[in-house]
Amino acid sequence: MSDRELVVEHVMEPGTGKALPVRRGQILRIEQIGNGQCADFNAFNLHDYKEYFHTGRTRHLHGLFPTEGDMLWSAPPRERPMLTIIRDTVGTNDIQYPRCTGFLYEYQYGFETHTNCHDILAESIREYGLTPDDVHDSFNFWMHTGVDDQGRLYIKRMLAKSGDYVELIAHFDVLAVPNVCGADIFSTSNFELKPLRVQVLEATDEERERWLLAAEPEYRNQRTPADFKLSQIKVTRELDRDESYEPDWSVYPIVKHSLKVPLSDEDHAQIEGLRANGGFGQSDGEIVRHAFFSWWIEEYMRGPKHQHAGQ
Amino acid sequence: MSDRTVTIEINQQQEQMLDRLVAEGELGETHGEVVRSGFARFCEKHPELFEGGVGGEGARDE
Repeated sequence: MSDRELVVEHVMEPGTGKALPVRRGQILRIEQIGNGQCADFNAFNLHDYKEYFHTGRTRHLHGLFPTEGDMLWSAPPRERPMLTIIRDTVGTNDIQYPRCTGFLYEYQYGFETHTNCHDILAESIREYGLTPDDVHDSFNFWMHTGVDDQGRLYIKRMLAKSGDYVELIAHFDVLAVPNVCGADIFSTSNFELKPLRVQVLEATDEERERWLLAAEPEYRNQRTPADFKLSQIKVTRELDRDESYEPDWSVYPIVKHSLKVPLSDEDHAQIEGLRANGGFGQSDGEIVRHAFFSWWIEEYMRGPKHQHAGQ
Repeated sequence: MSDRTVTIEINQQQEQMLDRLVAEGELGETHGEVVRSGFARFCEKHPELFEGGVGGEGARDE
């Protein structure tokens, strides 16, 4: 993309990271200089640091290995797309593993000090007045992972080579914080640490047209603390009970009504079949409820279904 | 239709969803009819769930 304007470029040496403002419509590019280096990544709303990247919602909406076309979402209650991955030359990214920490290297290997993503990210965001408590679960670019049949995570050999890159377009102004993952004694980066090049570029008009989402939230439930009863950030660390507190739940009480569902003889035969299946409950009511709502999910739910009907 | 019914409990949020389905007019005129229609369509769509079981003839024949 020769007509992109370069805003800033920086080479992250092993053991370092960099906090970079990326404005709406700008592109963050992270590029391999050596062969196979994982980049951990945090992101904050540049104008409200309490809005930050959320692995959970991202994993929920895009699966375990997000790649080109997928978005990085912010945490509830805001839940907005922060960035979209518009190019990914490898396609192996991870959002299961948390950032590595000093504790991890001491607990697992006995190191008193060791490069670790938490401390590198904390040092990176200190430039903007943020604290170690503001570091959050990371998006792990190029980290090649899987899940075995026992549900346990594992790390495979890094596939990225020199020249591979990822590019993300920002949907609103963010503080993007990539770092050179400090793991040289896991296979995360093939047991050696290498530098990474980061750039911030202005997107072309065509890229903005193709990728940029609306600046304002699309849904009323993409909220901020201003939409809640207590919106001020707590400034003390000690927790004390608010003696005037009275619960005020948004939907309460939950009121249930009995609903009679007329059934044919064939319906009853189907109930027996689903009972035999074993994945729909045991009573007739449980089975009808489970099957009906499963149908509703299949027909009406937007986004990934997260539903497996039956055994 | 037999005169047998099954009773399920529905909360106010789920009732909102059933209201919308009734308003669409395709599945039935009452909440109960809508649930029955959705249940039947689910069973029709998933014959594989009845394999090896004692499911309805229609499902097993597919």
